[in-house]
Amino acid sequence: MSTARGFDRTDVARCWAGFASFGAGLVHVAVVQDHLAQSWYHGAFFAVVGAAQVGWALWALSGTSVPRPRATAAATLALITLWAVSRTVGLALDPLSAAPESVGTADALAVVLELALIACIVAAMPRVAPAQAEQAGNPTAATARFVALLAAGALAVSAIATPAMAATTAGEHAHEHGHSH
Amino acid sequence: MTSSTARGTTGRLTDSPNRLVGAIFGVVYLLVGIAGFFVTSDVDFAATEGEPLIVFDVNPLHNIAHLAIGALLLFAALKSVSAAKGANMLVGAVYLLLGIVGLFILDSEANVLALNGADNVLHLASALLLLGVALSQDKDVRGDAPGIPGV
Repeated sequence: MSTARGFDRTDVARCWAGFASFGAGLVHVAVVQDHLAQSWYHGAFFAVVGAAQVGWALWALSGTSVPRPRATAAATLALITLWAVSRTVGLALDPLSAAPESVGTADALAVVLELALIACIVAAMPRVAPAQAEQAGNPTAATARFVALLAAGALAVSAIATPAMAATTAGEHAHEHGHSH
Repeated sequence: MTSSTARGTTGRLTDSPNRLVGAIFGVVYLLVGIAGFFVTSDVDFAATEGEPLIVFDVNPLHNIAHLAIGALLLFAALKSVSAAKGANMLVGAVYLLLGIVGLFILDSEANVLALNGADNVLHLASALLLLGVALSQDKDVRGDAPGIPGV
């Protein structure tokens, strides 16, 4: 039994993709309440998107490869495009929302996470030449490096997702509390 | 593709991502729990306004939670890969819930852990890492990799 193998770098990218999708999903779930005030279908849209992103994240983390990479990247790109249109020319879903919306903290940070998700999916996709596992005579060093990379990804995603969630109605109390200190 | 097969069954704590993360988090949270008592001597047990430990607000109840979580993670990491994986999953899920609920309760009487914004970031980061490692690594473990002394 081999004990000297390290880790595959695409494995790190897969986990980071899972983290990014999880973070984006949490932000979308956090804004459901705001959008329900707009209309039921606005709220339902963000609930479905958020649930799908969290579900995909769990799928990616628990699997052995990035699930449906091209479809996921395309769907994420479509979400970003939809966001960009809504912030530039506006969406003509109804007369009230036809005007462009202003860019907010939560939506801008969610887009950052989605861009990171696409980048990680691309990085985790199989190459023409299979990615070489990080080979080392010292598996402990490889494991420690792998864990450090995962920790860095988790910290980066949470540092983006938490202020994004705090900027929503759900988290507005966080701001009030923060200012009181 | 991961090489968790190799890492998870060698019996060395440092060769399993779940055991390594559990051990590191366990030690860190134990130390944080102990250090917290040095800054919360004048704070009520479950006060909603705590005292900062670096930038993370804590109260005595929060310190005890850190000690309990640290002890659980460290014990599981020293025991076996499957125990570490289970503990990481459990604590990760709890931190995820806390990280989300924390956003809603920061300015309320329900904030019995004296959470602040920095706490929420840390809890969410901990949740992602613990859940990520538990879900993605050591997949072939059958609960038979014992901890070894002297690691």
